[in-house]
Amino acid sequence: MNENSYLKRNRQISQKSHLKNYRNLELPPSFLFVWIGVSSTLLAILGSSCFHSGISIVFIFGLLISNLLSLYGIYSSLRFLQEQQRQINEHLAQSHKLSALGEIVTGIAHEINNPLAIIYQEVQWIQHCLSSDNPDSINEIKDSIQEVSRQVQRCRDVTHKLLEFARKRKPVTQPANLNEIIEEMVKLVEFTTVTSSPEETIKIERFYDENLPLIALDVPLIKQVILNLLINAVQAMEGKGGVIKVTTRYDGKNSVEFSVIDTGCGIPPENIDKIFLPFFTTKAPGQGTGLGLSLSYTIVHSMGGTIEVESSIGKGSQFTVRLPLKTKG
Amino acid sequence: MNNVAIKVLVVDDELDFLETIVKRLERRGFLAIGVSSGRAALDYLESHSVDVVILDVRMPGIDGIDVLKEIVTKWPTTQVILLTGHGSIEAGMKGLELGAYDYVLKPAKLEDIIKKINQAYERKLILEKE
Ligand SMILES: Nc1ncnc2c1ncn2[C@@H]1O[C@H](COP(=O)(O)OP(=O)(O)O)[C@@H](O)[C@H]1O
Ligand SMILES: [Mg+2]
Repeated sequence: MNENSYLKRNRQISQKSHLKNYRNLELPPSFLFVWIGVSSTLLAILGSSCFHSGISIVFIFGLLISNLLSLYGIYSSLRFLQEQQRQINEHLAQSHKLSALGEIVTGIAHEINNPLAIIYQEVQWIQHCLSSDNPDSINEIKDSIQEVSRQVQRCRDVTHKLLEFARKRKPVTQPANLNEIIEEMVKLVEFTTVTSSPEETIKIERFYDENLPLIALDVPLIKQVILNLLINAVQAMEGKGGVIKVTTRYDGKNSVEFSVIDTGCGIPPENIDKIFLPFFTTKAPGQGTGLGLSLSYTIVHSMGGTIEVESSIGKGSQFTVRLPLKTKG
Repeated sequence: MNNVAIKVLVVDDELDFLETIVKRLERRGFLAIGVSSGRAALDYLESHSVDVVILDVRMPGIDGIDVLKEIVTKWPTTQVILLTGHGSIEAGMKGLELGAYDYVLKPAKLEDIIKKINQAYERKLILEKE
């Protein structure tokens, strides 16, 4: 899996393609200094060799001035290019943000539209029932109203998650044993994935670092992250069975990390930049809302940590969360 | 360490379970009270301060998730530990997202519950200090 860090590769590709638009970079005015400096040095050398006049103070002085000029020119040209680079980066970040926003909006629309369509249908059905004399229609209406309230609940869940996402709760940390917390979540997932057929069995292997110190964690928040990663790993097996490795590691200094590694379907390179966006999902409705990883990302970052992914299609994926021992307040 | 007993409200419609857990928690030094419905729990909370609520998810009437939502908005420092039937990983997940401190699968070991109550109480103290 190490051979393929799609994330990095993808970044490079998109950066290159954006740079194409900036082919016709203008040369900075300070480039003139370089030109004057270099050409006057050349002239001075040429002049001294043509007239065999030897090295005079004036000549050395001229050489010094012209070199200083060109140094200054080079310096300010670099500054100019740096500024251009900064602008390009800003532009890049902006366009990433814009496409992310588009992605998010599409997701929300999708999540809300489906229940809305059902509600619309049910209301029409209620209207139809109201206008008929059929004695059964009261039951039909009851059914419809129940369905409507179910769908309204669905919409509310989406908006609730959105609000949660926007609220960015400040984590409340307390010293906790990460190995224990992970084991608890692993047991839970194991419990729910037991099957009778061996070819569908998902084996979970643990590699816990016994020297892991207690760390300051927001327990309910980190549990959500671990569960999300485990559920994704299980879903990545697509019912075929496989192995999930769960590891923890202490770097001996100031951070701990844990990984969830699966042998599932993997993530196509074109998706790897999108999986942390809210509402990005490749799963069927009901299987996933596309909020798991974006929530996990927000949570991990709120604790001062990082979350990284490596993946290879058909082989599997590895998600690694790194957390500082002491959370920045 | 702290000589103030932790106040625990247990909410479950299974009366046998409710009775035994309240008794066992009392024996372990907690100030435990049991009620058998979501409505009763919310009523109790209106007039009493509680540190930790042990809340069954599946109950007739107002279900555990709705009770949780109300507790989180009305008494944000009170910590909720959900009791869920086996296999309902989704219910547990949803509970965490909605602001529960933790959840335990039924049937739960008393030791596990006590450990979680203590941790949840610790969190409540941190929240109150802020
Ligand atoms: N372990 C994994 N293996 C393969 N694909 C994954 C994995 N984890 C996440 N993904 C991809 O990232 C997407 C977003 O994940 P997530 O935010 O958890 O939302 P959801 O699981 O609801 O789709 C998934 O739909 C899937 O395409
Ligand atoms: Mg998911």
